[in-house]
Amino acid sequence: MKGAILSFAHIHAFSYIECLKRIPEVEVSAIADEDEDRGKSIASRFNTRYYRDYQDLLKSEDIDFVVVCSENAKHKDMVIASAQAGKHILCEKPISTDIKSAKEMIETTNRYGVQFQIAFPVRFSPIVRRVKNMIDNGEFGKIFAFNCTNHGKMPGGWFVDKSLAGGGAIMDHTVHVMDILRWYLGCEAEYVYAEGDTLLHNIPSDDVGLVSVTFENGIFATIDTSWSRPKSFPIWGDVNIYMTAEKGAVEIEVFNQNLSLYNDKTMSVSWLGWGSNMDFLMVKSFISSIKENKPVEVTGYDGLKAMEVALAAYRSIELQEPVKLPLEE
Amino acid sequence: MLRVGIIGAGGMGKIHADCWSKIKEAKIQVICDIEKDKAESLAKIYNTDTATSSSDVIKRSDIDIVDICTPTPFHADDIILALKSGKHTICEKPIARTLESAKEVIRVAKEVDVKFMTAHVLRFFPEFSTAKNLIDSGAIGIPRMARMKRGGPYPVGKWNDWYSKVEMSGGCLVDTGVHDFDFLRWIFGDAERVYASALTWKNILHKDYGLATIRFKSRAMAQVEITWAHPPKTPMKVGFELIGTEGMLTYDNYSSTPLRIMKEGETFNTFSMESPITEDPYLGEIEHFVSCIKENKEPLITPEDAYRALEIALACIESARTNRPVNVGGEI
Repeated sequence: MKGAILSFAHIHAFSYIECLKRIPEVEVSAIADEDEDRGKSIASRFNTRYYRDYQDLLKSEDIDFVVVCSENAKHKDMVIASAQAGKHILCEKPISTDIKSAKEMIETTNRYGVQFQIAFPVRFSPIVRRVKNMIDNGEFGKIFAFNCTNHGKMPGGWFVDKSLAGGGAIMDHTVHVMDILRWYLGCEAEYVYAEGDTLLHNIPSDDVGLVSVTFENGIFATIDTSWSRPKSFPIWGDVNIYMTAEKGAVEIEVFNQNLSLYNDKTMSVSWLGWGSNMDFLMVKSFISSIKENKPVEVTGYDGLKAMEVALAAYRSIELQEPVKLPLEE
Repeated sequence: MLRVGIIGAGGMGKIHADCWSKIKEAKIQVICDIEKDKAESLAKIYNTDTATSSSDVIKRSDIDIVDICTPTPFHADDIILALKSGKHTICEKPIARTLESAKEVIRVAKEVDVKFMTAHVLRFFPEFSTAKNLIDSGAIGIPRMARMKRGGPYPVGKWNDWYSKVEMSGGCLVDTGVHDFDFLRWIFGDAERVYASALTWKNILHKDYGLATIRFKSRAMAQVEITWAHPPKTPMKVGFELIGTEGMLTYDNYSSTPLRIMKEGETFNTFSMESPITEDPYLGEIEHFVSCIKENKEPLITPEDAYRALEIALACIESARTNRPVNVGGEI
């Protein structure tokens, strides 16, 4: 099976290509990147063909699937063109930057009969899955609430450019946790209230966000989406989910399987993960969905519903009141 | 010698009595509780008189200080009576159950020439006061954001199960959250608006939990998690993250505990975590109040501070009831 990476604008592309290389029956044979210097050097490093224009790459008949890692606002065109070219698609999150384009992406991939998965690797974490199984077994009784964080360092670059990212920290960091909560509860968000602002960095986008979600079944949650980890923080960020239920409480700290490295050469401390590689588990699942022609584990619709909460958060900040879902297009 | 009357011989009354007994220039004169045996068993330890009516204590001429450790809805009336009777008064948090009665306390406190302080003891906990000092010294740049968590099992087995009556305790966001709201104001100044979700109004017996988002006038924001929903007999959990333009301060009582004692017969779930420290925050609080009386100083926690913390707490449960953001900071 042959695949291609469309754009290395999102740094996760490097992890995905490494993970794909570990799957014996998969070959990454081409990449496309608008940035010619970056693209050529990556192509030579991973020994693939290079295309400046992804449209040219999509003409290659030997390519079975693509991984889309462009800036958020460019997902839509790449996904639709890839579907039209008959390629299966793994698309970086968030699915896009507005409801209308997300719906169009879902519809087009359906029409052309290609697999379309959104890259929510946290779904594949054995820690997160362990709790999913316990919830499904009813071990906690009735669930009451979630207190969640997806923190990061300020990423800079196109992430702070609203025209490319569709927002700032709230757009970047609402969706991973939101996807897990929807998956855990089998239920959609009904109300979103948010506070967001630019408080920590001198950037044009929001860098802090507190997104409050009330689900249709009354369960409530807060997601802290802030790029609030200082530059000196020993790891990139976190995904933490603290659940309170009738029969107990659960604290999930997804990126807590670390070693601490005290490094005199850099005079810094870093936390280096030894836990399961979720990216690998995710791409493996995507490949097996293609091979066995079975539904992907995280659908375009999941991507749409998670992004909708981020969009609702921005609207709530504008209105200073809770916003009811679903949003209009 | 400062002569003290303690009203309320429950959990907080016991802690305060222990502190007063350690203050050289103070003497506990009388301990009062509507449950006579509670007053008597505590009075026996400190060799004091007993009473079952707070007004009997407050009216006594041989009392200089009234220390109010009763359930929340009884605070305001006793504070007002004590202040009007010319007694220095220290009262457990929150200052009152309603803003109206808190306003009345403030009005009276302004008229009298005695000291009054609401016991927001968090300001005397070294992990919190050290954080405040570090922030004041610029350790994290300009403070902009905070995450606070506090809680544990439901406070069961108390008088009349009063914690479970929202009209009395206000639930976890009022009773416990008020600690963090006062601390956040200490760091960020006055709040602007509040949004919260909570179990408080859902009538789940002996479970309460709340998540609050607070926006400050300085634009800073904070997220506060308060729980009374952990399983019985699990340890209290406290933590914070304070984030500024140039750094972050974090605290977590589980991970910073310096002492873990595992005795035979105990399991992972029952071994004890301790954090011994020579400076008892409750004693520090009482000592501060005594020094304010002796040196005629303004107490660290003003009546307005206590009012504003209560205002945020009540705004939280109002927001949780209505699913609307609630503005705070109105005139007192």
